[in-house]
Amino acid sequence: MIRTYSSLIVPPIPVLDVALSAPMLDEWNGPFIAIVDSGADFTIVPLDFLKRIQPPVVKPVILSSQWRDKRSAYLYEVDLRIGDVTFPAVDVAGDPFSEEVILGRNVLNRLDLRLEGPALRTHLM
Amino acid sequence: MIQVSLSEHTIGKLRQMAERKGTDISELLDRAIERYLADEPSIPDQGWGVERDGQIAQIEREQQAYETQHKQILEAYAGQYIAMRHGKVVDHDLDRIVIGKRVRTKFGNEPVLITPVLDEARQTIVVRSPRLLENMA
Repeated sequence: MIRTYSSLIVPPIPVLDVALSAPMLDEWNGPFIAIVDSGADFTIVPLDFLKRIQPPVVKPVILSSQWRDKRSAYLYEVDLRIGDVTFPAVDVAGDPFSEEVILGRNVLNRLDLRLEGPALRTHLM
Repeated sequence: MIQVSLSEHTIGKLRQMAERKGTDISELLDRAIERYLADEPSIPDQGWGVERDGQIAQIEREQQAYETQHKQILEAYAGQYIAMRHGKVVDHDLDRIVIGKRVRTKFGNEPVLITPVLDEARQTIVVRSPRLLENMA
């Protein structure tokens, strides 16, 4: 699968299309454009998107930036699909403020990706 | 992000509490307010909001039980995932997907705390991706 970078952010940023379902329900919502972000420990999903699938909450966490500012958040369990591949029981942090899906390393470390920067294309191998 | 005014007295107590817990005032306040709101009666007619408030109140209670028992749980299950329901460990496994499937099969979407057993009782997720804002006033 090949996906063109998003130019909505400058410089352009690698993205993938993801779909979400509550665990084991196989009722998919999306696709949502997800920013590929290897700097994020976990995947982050706007609460508005989670509201559509109503996944179970699994734990409270602390979200922190590299400058150590912190805020409370909750992890929700979802099934996540990218292309033809489904990842069950993925923990994602609910984001009450933004409208961006951030694809963090808890998902990226399960993918074989190639970032073809000069052509602004992401290859899912 | 919004700003709120607090008395010097409250700020002083918050600062002391934050130092004792090894955190900062913003995070401490955020957590305290979330817990307070989770225990308050929900506003009706908000659909998932009401259900989510109930789930969050329950998961905060499970988290408090987990933090209270953290030392013993760390000794018994370090490096594994545990599932905690009504203050008791009801399942454990090395694999997040496997424990997730068992918990959902047994308890549906009920709020069951599922967490890796780590040195820190409340996991910190770091996002190291600052954005460049061109038009900052």
